[in-house]
Amino acid sequence: MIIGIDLGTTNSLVAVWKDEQARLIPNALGKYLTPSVVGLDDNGDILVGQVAKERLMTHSQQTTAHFKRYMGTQKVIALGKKSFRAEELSALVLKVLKQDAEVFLGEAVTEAVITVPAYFNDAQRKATKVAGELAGLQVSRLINEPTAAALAYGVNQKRDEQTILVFDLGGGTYDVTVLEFFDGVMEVHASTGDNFLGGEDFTTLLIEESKRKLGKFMDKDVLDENKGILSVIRNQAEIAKQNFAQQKVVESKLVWQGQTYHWQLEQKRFEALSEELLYRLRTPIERALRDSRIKSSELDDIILVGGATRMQMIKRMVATMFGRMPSCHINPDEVVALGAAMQAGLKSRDSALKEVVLTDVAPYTLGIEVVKHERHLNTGFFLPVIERNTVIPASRVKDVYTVNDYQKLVMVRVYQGESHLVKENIFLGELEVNVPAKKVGEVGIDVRFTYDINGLLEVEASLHDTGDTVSVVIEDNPGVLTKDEIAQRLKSLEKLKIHPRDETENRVVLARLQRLYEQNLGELRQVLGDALSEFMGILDYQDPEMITEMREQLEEFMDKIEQDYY
Amino acid sequence: MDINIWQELGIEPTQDKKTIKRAYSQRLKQVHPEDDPDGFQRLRFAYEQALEQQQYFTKPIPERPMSPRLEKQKPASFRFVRVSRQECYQQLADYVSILLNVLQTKGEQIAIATLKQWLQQPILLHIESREQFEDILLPKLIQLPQLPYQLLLFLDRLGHWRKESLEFSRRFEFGEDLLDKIRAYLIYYSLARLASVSLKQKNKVEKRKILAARLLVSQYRPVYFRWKKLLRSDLLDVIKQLLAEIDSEVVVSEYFNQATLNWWREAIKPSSITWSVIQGLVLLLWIRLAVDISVELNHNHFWPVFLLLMIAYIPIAWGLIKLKQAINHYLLPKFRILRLWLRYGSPLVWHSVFWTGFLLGLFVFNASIDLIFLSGFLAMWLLYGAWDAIILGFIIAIIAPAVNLFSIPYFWIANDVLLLLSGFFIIQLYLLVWLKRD
Repeated sequence: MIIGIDLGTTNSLVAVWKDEQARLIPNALGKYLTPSVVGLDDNGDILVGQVAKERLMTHSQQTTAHFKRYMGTQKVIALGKKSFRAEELSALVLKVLKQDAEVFLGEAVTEAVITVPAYFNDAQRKATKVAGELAGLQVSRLINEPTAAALAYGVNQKRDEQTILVFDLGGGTYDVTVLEFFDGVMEVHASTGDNFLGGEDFTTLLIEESKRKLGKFMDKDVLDENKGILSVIRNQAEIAKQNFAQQKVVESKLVWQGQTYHWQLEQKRFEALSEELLYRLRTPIERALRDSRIKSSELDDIILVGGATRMQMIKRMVATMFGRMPSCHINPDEVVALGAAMQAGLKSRDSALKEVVLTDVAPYTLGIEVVKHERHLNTGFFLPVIERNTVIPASRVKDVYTVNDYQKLVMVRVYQGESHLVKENIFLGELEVNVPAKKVGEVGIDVRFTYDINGLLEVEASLHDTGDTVSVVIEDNPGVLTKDEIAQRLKSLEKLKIHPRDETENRVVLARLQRLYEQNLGELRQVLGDALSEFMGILDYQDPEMITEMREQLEEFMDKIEQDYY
Repeated sequence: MDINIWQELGIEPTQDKKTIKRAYSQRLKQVHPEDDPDGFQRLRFAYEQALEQQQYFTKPIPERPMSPRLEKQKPASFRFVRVSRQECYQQLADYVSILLNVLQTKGEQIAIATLKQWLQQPILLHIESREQFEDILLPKLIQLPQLPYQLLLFLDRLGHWRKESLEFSRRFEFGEDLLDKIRAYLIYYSLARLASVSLKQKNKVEKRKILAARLLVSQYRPVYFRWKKLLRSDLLDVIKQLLAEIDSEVVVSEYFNQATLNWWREAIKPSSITWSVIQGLVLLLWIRLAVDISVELNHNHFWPVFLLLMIAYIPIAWGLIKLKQAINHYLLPKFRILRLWLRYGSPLVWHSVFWTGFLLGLFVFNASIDLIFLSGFLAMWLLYGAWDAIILGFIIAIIAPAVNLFSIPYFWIANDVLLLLSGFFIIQLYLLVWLKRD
């Protein structure tokens, strides 16, 4: 059985194709969304999901979130005394999701389809694949998030021919994809986006605004450096963001060292602050339409995907840009996971899905560095080999020639990007080709780029004369782990103990009690403190019935507090 | 690829889009991209070709307009404001002419502010309109006598021109040139902004950077600057860095004073003195050898021999002129900033000082060769611990005493030749070491 996983910046989901439909798999708490948060508990065990999220404030040094943003980079994230790369943290999330799926399906799961933002580059895709391997999953396919969403929307559509645009604004990434369905073919025309733009950026704006307001009453250094305060502010900002749909002004509150601070966040101010971000949302759409040679009026539908599209501001902007209302009738948080499950179904050639063939594109232009003779020998120009939005799998060849007499070596430097100068593009890797020493231009090399269906690139260079071939799968990138490193990290991850699944519910209640204890004052605090010690006592007693009863009571109680609180 | 595209698609040649698409989708299920990537690529190629041919036959090819995207200027429909395409295009054109007017009468900043306001209006919010707006605006902007760079940078930020320059130069035939100019301006602009920052409350590194920026964007020749600021050679390092940044662009912004830049380019060039000095040096050495020859070879006919050598003095004089030029151009301006010179002046300058001293000592003061060499060796070693000083020291320590002690006949020839060769050798060595250093 292949599962489909939506590995998100803020939340992750797992789904499976079962009984001829895509079904979301609940986690230990019975919920579909598992927050992509990882933490360590006091014994050094790993906590993942809601438990970790609750501890973001109370144990800010041992907990981390939003690590998807560092996929494909060398950044090391510290958790207590241990340190992890983004791949490892993602692997821990994947492990938990895998566990959930195994419990749900009652069988071992070894294979998965994982979604990535369409605009993820080579290094980021590889990192995602590595994360899967580290979690003990064979990643049979990386599928682009908007494509997955379109699959979820499109497979059961009745109309046989239509063109749609998917607007996918997730927690940390932004994708725009234009696709067309016809005769059981789903063809992606263009995919663009921005890897560093998402709902979190809008939250950050509110956090900064809150800090400015709090700065009047509090020490600025404390505001900047105390992770605990920051996570409270973040929490408040997120709530405000969600409530702007109904309220113009949202009240926020922070309790710190026995004092309570109040501040207000205004919807109008938020929209003014977001102007710059909205501009950035626009350009990728323009490009996607231009690349697919489709006029906005020819689109049959515009689909909103990703939690951040719940913001009224975004919906309004999309509506104005296209002059019509976009569709969002499938839950924007869940649609990607459902699509991933469908892809998994397609992959295993489930009979109900036999008819759909999906073709995707390479979102970036890939090419090599070349020298140009203009006024003088100018270096650093970019020669595209595979143009962006080429349908994959694709293989393209460009021939290049030597530039110096008796040159013995040609460096093929591979870049990705849309600028004609390599310095503005992203360096992916290089390969050395030894050539016979001859006069300028007498030695020709064929450079072949092969882009496979998972979006991974192989570069091959062969001499015209002899046909000698040098090839490389681009992996010199410092952001990508080598095979040895992967094996080594796999070992160190295996040593880590993930907290047992059946205790998750109790852990969440404990963590939430602790958070509320710190967020509140006076009588309520005392009540919470008592409840905390009582619950811990009952846990020690190990009577499952009593535990369940108390837990349910506490959950109800805490829900009530939080409702009053906000 | 020479495959018959219709065969690959499995249909008769047709110009019906639907038929082509259906054939493609039928074949696609046989050559699934997952199982048969090669087969799929062949099919895809055939499909794209077929569609292209179909488009070619069904649509007349539009005349190639001035800007390749002009045909796209057909106005789009805006359902929600319900204006006709023609009206919409007209409105955009109106906006452009107002913007140009504002730009010329009120300046760039006001024009940008106006544009920012407009971007909130429905007509410009529509997804297709910004590009159209650009299509109308840009050809007019580049005809202005002074390019409004700030406005261009604002538009660049909205449209990712630089980041996606491949696309931009496809859209506009002047695209690449314009982007080069914008890039060049951006460097000027960032330096000019840096230069206007106050030096107060800045740390050393920041101060250095600000000073360097001020010197580079200045419209005045550096002669007018207070030299004491220049005494820091680390400042020159920064200048070198910034200059490299400026020169790495295809064009240099016209806002820079080219004379100023050139002056600095010369000033940071370490090897600018090399060849003139070498020539002077070699010729002076040749005199030394020539006099020795005339004295030693023929005591009785010293003058005829010497006259002959005087004819050979012509190239020597030429060499001296060169040397003088070198001193005038490179030594004197640097005279007051000795520390700077020590770091950036050529080691060959030191060679020339050394060799001139050596010859002066020999001819004017009749000092012993050994003495001069030894003092020169000491001086060079003290000044900058040079390798050639050590090598020369060896030569003197071994060869010169040997000549004196055993008075071997004609050994002086070997001695002179050896000195000459070692001189060359040292120069070569220096050039090598030094070129590598940069």
